[in-house]
Amino acid sequence: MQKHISGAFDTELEELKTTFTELGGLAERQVADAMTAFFTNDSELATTVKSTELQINRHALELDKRAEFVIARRQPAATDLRLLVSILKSSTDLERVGDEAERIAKLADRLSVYDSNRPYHDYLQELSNGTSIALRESLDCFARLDVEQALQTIAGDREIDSLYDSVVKHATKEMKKVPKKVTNSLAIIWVARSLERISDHAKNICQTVVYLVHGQMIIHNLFE
Amino acid sequence: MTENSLPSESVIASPSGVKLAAKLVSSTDTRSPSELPADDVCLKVSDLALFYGSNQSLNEINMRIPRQRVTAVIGPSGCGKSTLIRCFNRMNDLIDGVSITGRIELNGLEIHNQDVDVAQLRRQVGMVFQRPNPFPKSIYENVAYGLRLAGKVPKSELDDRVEWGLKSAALWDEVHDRLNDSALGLSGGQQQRLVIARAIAVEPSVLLLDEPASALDPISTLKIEELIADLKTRYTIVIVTHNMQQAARVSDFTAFLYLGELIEYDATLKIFTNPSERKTEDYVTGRYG
Repeated sequence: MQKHISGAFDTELEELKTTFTELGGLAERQVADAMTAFFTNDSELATTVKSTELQINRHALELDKRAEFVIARRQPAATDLRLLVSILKSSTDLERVGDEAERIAKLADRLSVYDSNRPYHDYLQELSNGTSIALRESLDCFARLDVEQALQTIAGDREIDSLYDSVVKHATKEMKKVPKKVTNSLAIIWVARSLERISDHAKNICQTVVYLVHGQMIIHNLFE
Repeated sequence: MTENSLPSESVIASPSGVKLAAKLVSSTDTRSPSELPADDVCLKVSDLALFYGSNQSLNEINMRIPRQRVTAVIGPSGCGKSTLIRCFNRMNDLIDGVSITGRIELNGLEIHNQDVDVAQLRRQVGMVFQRPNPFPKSIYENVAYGLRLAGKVPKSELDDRVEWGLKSAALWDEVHDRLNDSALGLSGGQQQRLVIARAIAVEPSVLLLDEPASALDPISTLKIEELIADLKTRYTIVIVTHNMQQAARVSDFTAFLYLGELIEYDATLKIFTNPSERKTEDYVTGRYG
């Protein structure tokens, strides 16, 4: 795209995009670390995830503040305005992805042992992979303004929802079968719930990409 | 550069090894001018009051104007914006019946001292007005004029300084092949940049811009604003503007004047996102003024 007459405006927008991408990278890493901590009972890694959460929040706040400054200073219009609105919306999504990763890390601490031989395991593993992929795709779409990929990722959310249902179904069965381990089964359900929410945030980011490119916010059920 | 001066850098390292290192090169000065170290202050205004006869136009103004930054003065018509910046190069001396009390220090020296050479002061504190006022001479002569006044300069050096002035004012590319043409044949925006080139050719330390873009079209206005952003790396700039958005775009610090009083003076980002004074809030949000 052609540069603005004001070089400083271009610099400010580039900085915002870079800061947003970094926040996205950090959120992605948090989710991956939290799931590793959960699956491998790694309490040290869980502690790391919890302490990094504060930095995600700080980074998201810094991003919002800078976006606010750019709006006040430049009175952006058209694509520039949509970029700022999109960054502000999506930074909230990423900040919440960070919250969910922290929740998973806390559950990893609470879980005595993760048993990968239980029937829910394959579904939870698949849910975890699918969520990570959706999050990565949403950030790639944002960076490349790739609407086609964004729509595919939005459509893929149905698969995530069905994996979530399967985990809940199996974990509930487990509760009935082994009432002594109800705490563990509950933790499995909560982790699945967090993953499903992270995937929803990825979907929101994809919807924002469509808005950023076409100027229209797609209605939630339109593509479902 | 002081430790916390620009460019700022925001680095957040996570324990899991992801390093967030957004190098922030854009202006994010959120400090109040009162927090600036003394070395960063170019113009220091203390208890400045100005009277036209018995009519008081400026009331107890206190300001620290930072070096190599852009300070905008905003406020409704007649609030004393232009009167204030004209104090900085003693332009008000030329008006009958004006009396001034208080102090104005330029780089630590009181500009009202008897031994101050006013012509020298005005070379140091250049000024550009609302309407471009090129002399009815060639483009070259307009820029060379101040240099010739300052003393005899060899032709080759004069050529270099004229070229440098025009390049600094982002005008060289448009006029280098017609330097001997009349300056009056240039467009309004070009004339204004020529006048800026003339002011900076004598290498002032401060540039006062009194509504420099209000007579220009939007694109010429943006070019002047971009020029201001370039020039602040070398000069201290004070700009008076009616256009609040322009103040927001170009300045690092903003002073809001109302009825001759300095209501609020702070980092521009603070003034336009979260001003401390109700009057400032009302003015920047277009509720009065």
